[in-house]
Amino acid sequence: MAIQALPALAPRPTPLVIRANATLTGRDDLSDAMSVLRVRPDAGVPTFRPGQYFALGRWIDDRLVQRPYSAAATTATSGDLEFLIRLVPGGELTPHLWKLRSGARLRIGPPKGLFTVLPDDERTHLFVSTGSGLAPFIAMVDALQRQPRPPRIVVIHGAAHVAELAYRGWLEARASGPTSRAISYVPAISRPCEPDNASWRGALGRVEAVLPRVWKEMRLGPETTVAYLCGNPGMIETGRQVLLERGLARDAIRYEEYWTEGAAGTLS
Amino acid sequence: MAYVIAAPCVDHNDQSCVAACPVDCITADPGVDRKFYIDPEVCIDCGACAVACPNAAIFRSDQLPAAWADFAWVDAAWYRDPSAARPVVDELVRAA
Repeated sequence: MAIQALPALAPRPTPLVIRANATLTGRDDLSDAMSVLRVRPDAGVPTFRPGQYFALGRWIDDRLVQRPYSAAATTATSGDLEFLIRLVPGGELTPHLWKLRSGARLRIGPPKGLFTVLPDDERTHLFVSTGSGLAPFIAMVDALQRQPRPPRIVVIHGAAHVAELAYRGWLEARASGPTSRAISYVPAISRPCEPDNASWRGALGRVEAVLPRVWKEMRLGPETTVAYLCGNPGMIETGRQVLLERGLARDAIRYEEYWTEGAAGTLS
Repeated sequence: MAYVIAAPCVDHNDQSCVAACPVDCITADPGVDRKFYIDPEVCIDCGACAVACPNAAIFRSDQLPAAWADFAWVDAAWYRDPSAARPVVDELVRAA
């Protein structure tokens, strides 16, 4: 029941907000629409759990515009965080981020989010992602592989263009490592007819279509696998269904959706 | 627009939303408040809080159930004057 005649809200003073507390130290433009940004917080990289995100922000027209991005990696030697970001045409923030060059100042928030790997989980870790949804999995894989006895790891990453298979070299290096620690890496291209994909000889199709084949070929089992999904909501919905049909329990499927407007993980 | 924390949060004190919010716009005074509050002037509409909430207490303001519409006022008011917002929470709970 609504209460009648609640008073009008009084004006409030402008809150004190730190204008900038980090510097853009570099960027790798994978394509016109996807980049890896390296950001160095003034106070150093805070402790964070792989999979967590940070709000990056810029003051635009005297307003702080912030969006959360999962940290893909921390460059331990340089003290930088890395963020895999997709340009959202017409978005509030990314068109401004795209104009920035090294030395630009940014606002960065604290690490937040609950999409993290479970501790001491010996099950096979199946990471399924599209586009910039790969970001949290890079941090997770890195952390898992630093464990004395890392679990078996399978990474499926889908992209529209070969150039947007971010961290491909990094993942391929781990896929060719010592057998006991090697990961399985399955990059997939969803638009094989695009001219810039002509040389691609790997998996074709959307991730959710590749997933059943990977599940079978790698002999994954519902009792011994935990799945993490990150990317567009359509992939997550279909991917969850594929995994449920293969007997994976609901609580063995963890996911984080990336919307084009407004959700944790990435955005405009 | 912003997200709003409604009646299902009251007296639960779960803080998953606080852990999820990337811009730290959710808070409360521990031991005093019966619910958490979203600052509508800082909220970036990401929805991470709503996903994280185990009590299904958080809604986009334009999707807030009519019975809980006044919680939008409550959340905004708390960041101006907590002592004005708290009695309204009590009243809304009693009225439910």
